[in-house]
Amino acid sequence: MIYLQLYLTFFKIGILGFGGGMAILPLIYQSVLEFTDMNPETFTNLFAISQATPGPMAVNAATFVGFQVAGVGGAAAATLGVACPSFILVALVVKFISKYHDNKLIEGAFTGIRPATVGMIGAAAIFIGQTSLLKVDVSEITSLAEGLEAIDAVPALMTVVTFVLAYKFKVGSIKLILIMGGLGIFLCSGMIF
Amino acid sequence: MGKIKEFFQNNIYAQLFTAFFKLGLFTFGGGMAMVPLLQDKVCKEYGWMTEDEVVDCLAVSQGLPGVIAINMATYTGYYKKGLKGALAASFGMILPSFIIIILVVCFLEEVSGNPYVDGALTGIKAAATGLIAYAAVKLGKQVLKTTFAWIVGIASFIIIAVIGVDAVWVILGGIVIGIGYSCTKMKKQKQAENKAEEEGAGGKLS
Repeated sequence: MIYLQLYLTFFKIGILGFGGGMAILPLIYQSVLEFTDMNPETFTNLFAISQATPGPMAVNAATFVGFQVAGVGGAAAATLGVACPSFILVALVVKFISKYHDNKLIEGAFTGIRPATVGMIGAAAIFIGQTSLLKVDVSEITSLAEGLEAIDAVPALMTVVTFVLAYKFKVGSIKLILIMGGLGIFLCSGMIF
Repeated sequence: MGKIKEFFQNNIYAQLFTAFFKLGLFTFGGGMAMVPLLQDKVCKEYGWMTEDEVVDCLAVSQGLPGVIAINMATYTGYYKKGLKGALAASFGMILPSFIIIILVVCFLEEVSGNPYVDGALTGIKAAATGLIAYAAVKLGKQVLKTTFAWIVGIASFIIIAVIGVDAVWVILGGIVIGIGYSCTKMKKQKQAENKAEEEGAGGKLS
């Protein structure tokens, strides 16, 4: 039964997809080819669409593949499949943590995890900046001067403005995303520059 | 209509659902891009968690396998309202993706390669970059209060961004180092206490 197959395949992807995002696309490609023949072009679309639409990439990809293979029902089966491992695991962990909240070991673990999380988010800013603010692929850049030259001025300026508006003027995130998306239609579409 | 609005404003499950529906709708670029929005909604707007508790949520979400965004939704929902809360938040998180992807597949021909759509996406990604940088600065101010925290924070950044190690290893490393650090600190404290006691006792004897 195709729905069950989709559910189980994406359940497996949900467990293995450590770190999320890009890392799971090759996994999806391999797993799906096991029970259905999808042409490579559809997978190129999968990649582009999962990135260009809002929401978690893994969920986008699951809905896309499920829908292509077996319509709305397939989309639902694949999406639930990819979400279930997260749900089960995190619910168990939160239950455990709140139960042993005052345990010295758990408290100690968190004194190490918290600053590591800060570094991780800083790194995430760099990664997302690489994909949105550079005119060429980051792997083609060999020196700092080349890197600076590759920066796309208009989006880079928008990034700085967003940071200042959020930091100094406490403008909300959703508002900023809407504003910059709207500005992008004029400033980044080739209409003016 | 009034009743429906009231329900969505007062029912905690409806609130969890709506909050994460909006997060799903406005997060471009996956997991970490959701952090600034999560802080906005969960701390500022609804007050479900303190800023410190959000940091724990991020750490757990990144450290466990699975889809990071759903990890965050489940964590928040469960933390606030148990299993039902987790279900409400996760469904809210998934639904926008589900609807949008199906619509996009149906209208793919019209959307692909449109310069205005591309332009809007470039603008949105630029905003996401700025917002994540802001989230890092804000969290840094709140978490990096000791030398130990600064060292771990900077080391994590370098290990992930420069060396390219997967973030999961950094979180696991953080657990080990955190436990080690806390244990040595406690040991030292105990030793100091013992010493003080001995000295105190010695003082009495003489």
